[in-house]
Order: sequence, then C-alpha cells, then structure tokens
Amino acid sequence: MRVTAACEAGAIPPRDRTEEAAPAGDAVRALLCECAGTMAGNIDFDVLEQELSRGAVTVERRAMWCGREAKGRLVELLDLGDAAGRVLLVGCSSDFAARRLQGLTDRGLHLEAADIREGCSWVHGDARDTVTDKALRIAQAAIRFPARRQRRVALRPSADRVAVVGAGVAGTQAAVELARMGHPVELLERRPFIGGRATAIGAVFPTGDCGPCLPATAAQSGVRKCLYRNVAVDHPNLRIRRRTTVQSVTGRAGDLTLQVRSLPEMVGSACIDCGLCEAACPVPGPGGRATAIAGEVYDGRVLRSIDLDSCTFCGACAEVCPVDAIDLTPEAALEELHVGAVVIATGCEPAPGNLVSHLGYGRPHVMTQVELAEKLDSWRELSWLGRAPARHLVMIQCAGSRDERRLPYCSRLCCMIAIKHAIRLRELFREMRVTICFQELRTPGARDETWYLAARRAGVEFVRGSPATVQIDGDGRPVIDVEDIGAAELRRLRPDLVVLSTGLVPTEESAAVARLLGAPLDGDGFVAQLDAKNRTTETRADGVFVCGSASGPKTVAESITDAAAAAARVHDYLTAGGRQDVCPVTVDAARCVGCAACVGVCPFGALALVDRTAVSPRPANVLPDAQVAAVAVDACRACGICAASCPELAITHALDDDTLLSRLRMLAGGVEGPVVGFTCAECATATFNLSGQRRDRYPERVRLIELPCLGRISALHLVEAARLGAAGVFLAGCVEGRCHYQRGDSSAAEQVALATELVTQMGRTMPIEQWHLCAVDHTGIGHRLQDFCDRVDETQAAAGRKRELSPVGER
Amino acid sequence: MPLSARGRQVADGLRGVTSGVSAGVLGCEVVRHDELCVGCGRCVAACPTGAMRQDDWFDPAQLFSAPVESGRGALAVALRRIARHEPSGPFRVPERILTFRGILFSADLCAGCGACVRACPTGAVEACSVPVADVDGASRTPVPAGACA
Repeated sequence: MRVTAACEAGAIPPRDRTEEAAPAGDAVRALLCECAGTMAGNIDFDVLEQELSRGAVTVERRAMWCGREAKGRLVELLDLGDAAGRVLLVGCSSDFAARRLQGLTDRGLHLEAADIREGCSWVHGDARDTVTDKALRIAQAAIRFPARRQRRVALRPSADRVAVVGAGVAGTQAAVELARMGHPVELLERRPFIGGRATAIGAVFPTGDCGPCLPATAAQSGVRKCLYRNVAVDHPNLRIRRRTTVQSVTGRAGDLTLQVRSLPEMVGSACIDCGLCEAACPVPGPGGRATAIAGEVYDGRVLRSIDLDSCTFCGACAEVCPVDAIDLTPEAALEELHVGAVVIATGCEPAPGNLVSHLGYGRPHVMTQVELAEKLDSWRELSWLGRAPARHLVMIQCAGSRDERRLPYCSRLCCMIAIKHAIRLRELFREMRVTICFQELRTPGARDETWYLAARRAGVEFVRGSPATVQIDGDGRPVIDVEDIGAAELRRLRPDLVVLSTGLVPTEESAAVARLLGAPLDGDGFVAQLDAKNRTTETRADGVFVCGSASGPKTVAESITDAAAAAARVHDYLTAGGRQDVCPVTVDAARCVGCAACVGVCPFGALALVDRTAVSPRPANVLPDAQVAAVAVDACRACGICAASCPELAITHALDDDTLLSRLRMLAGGVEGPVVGFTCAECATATFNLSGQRRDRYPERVRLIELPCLGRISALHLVEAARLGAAGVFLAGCVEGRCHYQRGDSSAAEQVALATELVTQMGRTMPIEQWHLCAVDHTGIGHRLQDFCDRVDETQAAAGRKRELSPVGER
Repeated sequence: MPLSARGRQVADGLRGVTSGVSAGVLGCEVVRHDELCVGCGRCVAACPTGAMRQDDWFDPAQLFSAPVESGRGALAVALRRIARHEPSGPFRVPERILTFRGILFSADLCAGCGACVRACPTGAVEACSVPVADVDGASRTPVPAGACA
C-alpha cells in the first residue's frame, strides 16, 4: 500500500485508521456462476470456463453460487482469508451479489464481481458467439485489470464534545438531545438569553400558544415545558455560554478547535429577581427599553442582564443589590473549545427594512409582521379598554419577497403568520376591519388550511392582488391602490395601519460562522444542505451540521423536529466513526509540478499544496522550492475528479489510468464499431442494473465501464475510445445537480467538450453524449441505447460520405 | 540569470504573443516555453501589472510539443494515433477547464519584475534582465512604484 504524499510530507496527518492487509500474491479465484441456467441461452459456459482458466486463475464453476451448498464453499473461502487470493464472482452485478451474499460479506468476505448477467446475457439476444465473447471480455477486464484494493479507513472523530452555535429553539433542542445522548455539549449564544426569535413573537402557529417551550422529558409532568422550567436544559452534559461568539476555527474535520469570546455575564447566579437594580439604573437601554439592566421575560434562567453597549458602568445597580449578585469588573474572556462536531443553528431574521421601503416602511402607520407580533401582547390591554389601535388594518403579503430585485424566494411562513395575526386581531377587536392583500396564499396541508378557513370565518377580508407601492396622503395616512383580481376592479384602500409580511433572511452570524467552519452557503445565503432530500441536516463541510432556520425559514415545529434529526446525525457521526471504505488517491511527487489544478477542482478541499521534503523526488524542470500537492486522507471521497484534471498525470486514483485504459481496450474489442458507455457507480449503475434485471434488450456492441463517478473521466480516456474505433460514447451519471460528489458531473461535461473538440480536430467523428439518469429511468434504457446506436450509425455514415467527397487532408 | 540555450533560441525569434521584451522600468526579456506550460495560470495570478493573461483559446499544437511523459504529451500521443489530418487550429476552451488554456504575454505591460518566473511551477517562464537602454523607450509604460515583487 502506498503512503500518500501528504503523510510522507507530514503536512496533513491522517486520522486513526485501521488498514486491511493486502491480499497475498496475485492468485485469482473466479467463481463462475451459471445463475441456475438462466444464461445458458446465449452464453457458452464451457468456452468461458476454458478461456478463464488460462494463466493463474482458478475457476470454480457452479450452477448457482448463492445456493445453500455454494454458500458452504464461500464460508471455506472466507476462512482461508487472504490465502484464497482475490475472489471474483463472474455472474450477477455486484449490487445483486452483495445482497444475496450479505451474511458473508458482513463477516468479511471481500468479493469482487464481473457482471455477465444483467450486464450481458440477460440483455442480449441469441447471438451465442458474440454474447459469449462479450461475457468473456467483461470477466477478463475484471480479472486482469483490478482496481486498487479499497482501503478500509475507519474515521473516528477524536473529540466527543459538540458545539451548537445559536441557542434559539432549534439550537437549544439539538443541544438538549445531544446532551441526553451522552455528549458534552457547548451551547453558544450571542445574546444574553436563550430561546431566540420564538421568545419575541408571542403566539406561534400551528398551535396558537407561545413559542419558547421544549418537549418535556420523561421525568417531567406534561408534554412540554417552558424553557425556564424545563429541566432538560439543566442536563449536566449541557453547558450554556451566553454572550459568546465564535472567533476562529482551526483543526480538521472531527477534531476542531473553536476559539470563542465570551462577554461577561456580570449578574451572577445569586440574583433573586428583586428588581431593585432596575429601579436604580439611571441609563436608558437599547430599543426603547427604560434601563440598561433588565429582566428577560422568556428566559427565566437569566433573571437580569446588562446591555453592555448602553451601560456606563456607574455601579448604581451593584450598590443597591441586596445579595451582591452584580459584579461589573470582569472582562471579555477568550477560550478554546475542542469539539468533534459543530451544529450551526443560527436561525433567520426578518428582511431588512430597505427591502420594503417601496411599501412605505419607515413611515408612521407602516410596520412589519414581526413588529406587530411584538405589539399584540401589549395591545391586549387596549382591547380591555375597548380601544382599537386602528379601524382598518391592511396586511400586504410577499412584501419584498418573490421579487428578483429584492428577495427572490418564498419564505414559506409569512402567509401563516399573517393569518394567525389577522385572527388574533379580529378576536381582540371585533370592530377592526382586517384585509389581507396577497398574490397567492400558501397554506399547504390540512392543518394550515384550517387556519385559512378559520380566518374567513372570523371575518378577515382577503383581496387577491399585490399593491406595487404604499403612498402616504397629506394627512400622513397610507393609501393603497390594489387591483383586486377576484373582483376584476381597481380598489383604493385607506387603512389606518399597514402591516408588511416581509420575508426571512439568514442572520449575519450564519454567514460568518459558516465561513469559519468551511460550510458553503446556498444561492439565497442560507447554509447549504449536503443533500436537499436525504441529508438536510448536514452541511458540505465534514463534521459540520445545520438545523432550524439557518438552512431556510422553518416553523417552530419544524425547527424542533429538525434539531432532533440533526442531533441524531451528530450522534451517528461521533459514534459510528464517520465514513468507511474510503480509498484515497495518491500523488506522485516525481510528477507533480505543484500547479494547484487539483486543489481548485476538489469538491471536498482534500487537496492542498505543501512544501516538498528534501528527499522527495521532483520533476526535472521544477524549481527546488516548488510545492507538491498532498491529499488529506480523511477528506477525500475518492471521486477521481483530481486525477482527471491533473495536467501531469501525477495523481493516481484507485481506478488508475492504466487499469481504466486496459479495461477499455479489453471491452471495446471483438466487435465492429463498439459503443462505449461510462457509467457512474451510483445512480447510473443502479439504473442499468435494474434495466438488466428486467431483461430490457440492447445491442451487444454497447460496452459498459463503471467509474466511481463521472468526474473520473478525462479527455484522454475519450480519445482512447476513439482510437479503439468506438462509433460513439455516452457517459451516464446522476440527475443534473445531484452528483454524489458535487462536481463530478460538471467536470465530466468539460472533459467531454474538450475531447469532442480534439477528436474533431483530428478529423474523426465520434459522438459523445452525457446522460443524466436516475433509477426510475430504468424502464427506458433498452430503447435509449438502441436509439443512441442508430443515431451514432447515422452520424458515422454521414461523416463517411463527406470524407469520400473530399479526401483532401487524409493521411 | 542568463537565458538557457533554448530560451535564447526562442528569444531570438520572439513571437510576440507569448514571449517578448519588457518595456517596463526593469528591462527584462521574458521567454515562455509553451511546451512546458500546463496553463495553470499561476503566473497570471502572480503578475502585478496584468501582463500575463489566460487565453480563452487553446492551440492543440501546444500539446504536440509537450514532453511525452507529461499529461499533455500523453494526450498528444493518443491524438496522433487517431489523427486523419493535422489539427485545424486554436479552439475556444470550455469555461471551467483551467488547464487547457494558452497564456498570453503583453510585453508593453510587463514591468520586468520576474514574479512570473518565480511563480511558474514547471519552469515554462524564463527571464533575463536587459540594459534599460536597450528597451525601446517609445513603448515604455510607467509602472507604479512598489508594483514589482
């Protein structure tokens, strides 16, 4: 086993890993399977056995290798261990074999597979000689040109501790879950209190009660508990750090060091919530608050906090405190936290006012839904006094949202927030007229629709139509001209109060934390999810997770679910040892010129330039101080994009160029005008296997080569296919934008464009197509391949005619 | 540092597109060996005056002069095998491919600082200083102080 240049240079230390011993010698044992006679129609197994037996290959032929008796033999081979040599099943696809023989592979039987069943016999007709030849080539390609044995790397994060950034509903819930799973958790919150946005908005939907409660634990009564009395938050594993921000991040995935800066708390745990300090404070606080020292209503844990921006440190509060709980002397503290994983739970915030200035925001009588939510509680007093704050209130939906110049996306929650507030207003003030102007109301699902119907019943007026502006008349009253699409008329509304349903945007902190942790953002500025369908609580940075609104606006209910899901993922990451079966690529220092092309293309940041050691070889014309590329073993996912992009062929992938080209030569042979198909090992191979299991026929000249990812393909391989006389080439990969390795798909597209240009320049015609497949496409594979072959033949015939007409330039 | 024999040969017949005599304050003869260039663009990034520029076009002829053991050379060998005729000339490179691009050199922008020579990983850029008097004064462009690395 070669040691990577990185380890050699000592620049990027690998994690603890257990390596499997390499198999002894080159002995190959081919287990030839007739699959219960289902291949007898077009494959001559006698020929196959005879041909495969040449050389150092032991052939064991059986009618069915997954039968009971055969499994006994497999157990013997398993017991032989490495003495059995490379064991290779010549029969069904590796996916199918893996499922049929799962018990044995789980016990450690390393089985390679050459697919002559759904990849050959089952999909072809009665041309016995041709099909047998193709089956032989498939078997020979696998036997004679093995990919480098996958190295088992058990990655184990070295710290059990988790940092959760942001103590809103999502962050707190994730921290509680993780603490209960047994992980030490550091919950970092920028503000002096926990609970986040949910604490500021009063009642939330879909339940109509207040937001800041978390699920009760089994030890508590009831099903939920307010943050301040929920003992889950007091878990001994959970440490809450208030007024704390992340300053810098160092280390590698699974072993990160976070430098955090904590502003002093100043009010200690001795506080008895008497409020004398608040009465004594002479300084006005932020946002219209009367004093700089104040109680946080919702976070009952922090009884009093001092706003450090407005406080003058006069000491009046400390003087009056009867229990000496206030100490104004401490300074901000820097501390280092070693963690194995980080959860980003930095949430979202209402869009800034400048996005809705066209709707009159900033003028009197115009406010946002969030501001309305904060007022609703105090307005209750008005309702008791029988005085409505307004006679007519108009809400404008999608304010600044779904607009290319402002917020391009739908924030999903605003419709429900508006309906919730409208119902509340009608409950509080029976005489108030409430109108909602909307483009489309988005209340999906049975429960949300109930809210909409309730709003109609409560007498809320709905107007389909979106006003372009809100004007202010001479008296300072808003005037809204709106085209009522339902009634097909232009209406002028003169409300007393306009409430704008603004969208939600990621917090500034989100972007800063994500950047420090190396987690990319999506197009809208939220933290990008690893996979929009299957891995929504992970980011693209290894060991960095995301939950709640940091990855897109979410309701309180969704945030709590999301947090629990993220916690489970983190627990899995910290305990299961991360990824396994990773085969990293190697860099040949004697060839690498240090041009950094690989560093730029790697989707996982696994490559970096490091200084050469004095002993490491270097190419002839490279300067003595030139750097060399190095692979970080734990970050590499073995997609092969780097190997395809290296201009000096210095990077060797497990499926190296020699093996790949030899397989190509072997498979493309024995047939006139082969059509070569490169398939990625993920979605495309699944599609072809399923198609083959349905026995969807296609021509024998189609020759499939499996790659770990289409990113492995380089122009060199495609030019070689042209040399071998390929009539056409197709590359089958995952659905666009769904590449398992992020950029393999686009890397292949570039190489195809390059190869097409070069091949054409040399006077050859070879159509190259790239397909985006997923498993549901399996029903059309036979037809698609036949169609491609026909099109290729037409193109070739047309090119042939053209050459005959103008033979100038021929060699 | 004086130019290599091959560099002198190139310099004598300076082609003007990828090599040339600097007109900057530090008179300098910059010679590029296209056959060694992998097109990585590190010289472009290093150049303080923008005299080095990555081209959107690539001339396949550059592949055929590359050393056989390099990746470009290997590709050239494979292409030779399938060639029906000589390559028809430069083509526009797909946008995200960074390593198959020519590097253009604008002598009139070059300050002669030599940053490109230090940045080039393959030794495809050579430079030797020439007396300022030799530089054609007419095409000299002022270079901001401190621009030279």
